[in-house]
Amino acid sequence: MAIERSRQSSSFAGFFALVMACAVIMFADTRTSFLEPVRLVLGLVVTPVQFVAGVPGEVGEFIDTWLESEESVRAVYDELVDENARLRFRLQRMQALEMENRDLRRILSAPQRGETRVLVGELLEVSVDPYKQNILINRGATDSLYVGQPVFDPDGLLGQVGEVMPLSSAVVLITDPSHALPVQVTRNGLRAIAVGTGQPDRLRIVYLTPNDDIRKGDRLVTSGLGGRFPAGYPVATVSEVVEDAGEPFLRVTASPIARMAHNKHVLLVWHGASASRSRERSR
Amino acid sequence: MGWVVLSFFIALVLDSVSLGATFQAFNPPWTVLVLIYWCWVLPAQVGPFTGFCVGLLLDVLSAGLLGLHALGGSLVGLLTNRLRVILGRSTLWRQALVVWGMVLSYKAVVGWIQSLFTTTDLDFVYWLSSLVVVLAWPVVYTLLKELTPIKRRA
Repeated sequence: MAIERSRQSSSFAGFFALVMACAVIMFADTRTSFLEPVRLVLGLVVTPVQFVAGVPGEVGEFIDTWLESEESVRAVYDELVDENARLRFRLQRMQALEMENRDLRRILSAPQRGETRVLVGELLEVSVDPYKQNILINRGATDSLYVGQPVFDPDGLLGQVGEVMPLSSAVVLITDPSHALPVQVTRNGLRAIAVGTGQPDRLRIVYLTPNDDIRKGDRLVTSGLGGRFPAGYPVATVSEVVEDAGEPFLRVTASPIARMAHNKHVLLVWHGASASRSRERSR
Repeated sequence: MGWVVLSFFIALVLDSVSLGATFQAFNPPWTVLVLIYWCWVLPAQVGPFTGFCVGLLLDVLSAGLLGLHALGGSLVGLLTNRLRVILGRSTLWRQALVVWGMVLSYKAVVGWIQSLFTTTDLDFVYWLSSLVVVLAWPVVYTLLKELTPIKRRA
């Protein structure tokens, strides 16, 4: 009986120690970056779990492609060839414009725009947390991804890398409730902040007063302030502007242009200083 | 011990399988259930510390705050250690209710801390989805009891 009691009390003390350890870990994780190596090691441990969990999705996809008829594949193929030709034509014009832009910037002695490097990543069909807007991709520390790296889909900004594991990483979408990013209205250059709502089709534009000129249909692009995202990339379209007489700020909602969680492929972008740094590292 | 590790691995996989947005909330917390089972069957080896370690893995898998699920796991470990006797004396369905209570307290701790750091609101679905545990526990219990050679000493 005495032994039993001593074991119980020690387990309470042990539990208390664990709670304290959790509190310290949570504090360190929110305020410092001391735990990045720990995350990396634990990430290596859970990598097999992620890959096995992705198998059902892959199998489903395989069956989908297997069941698809040859005609429909043919049609999609033709469409893609068509689109590729059109995009390459536009690229020719883009290159000319880029050159022109560089010359103009030199004449104006404005700073040159940094170069960008792009890596295509693939979505892993793994649930991360139903109460968070997160996705998992198959690129990680071995591809020299970094926390805070911007992630795009073919249409617009998707989010940023939130956690890097050796072979995979988690991307925090711009619709995550903990995410906010600086944006700019293309029509008049008005700057604002777009905050996630937790719903995949909605962003909130905060701190705009009734005097600010924003309308339904306005396009929002990244402003580049803060230096985390490159400037000028499409983010969202304003879907609703509500002016409430009792409120100091407008209630503005916008729908993201990137198709959240509907894309199989995402684009990881290195821009400015990080692009040249990653190039040097890969040499 | 290999069986314990294997079952935790399978539970972690089941926890991270993608079921689509509608059903995801109703995927029972398999890892927590397996943790409760082993805490009960192997009280000398598996306890709050195991819960802590498994919780850390869940934290990394969920790409969230480090230490959050670890705290929940430690709590479940302690609760199971305390309620071992009650679990042993109950029928399967009453066990399921006790387990449901443990999962609820786990979800309360995890959800509360999560809501401190983000603007997530814990809706009705968050609490309601824990009821799946009542159905999932008999499955976990039967599978682990029949498939693993480790037996509980009465």
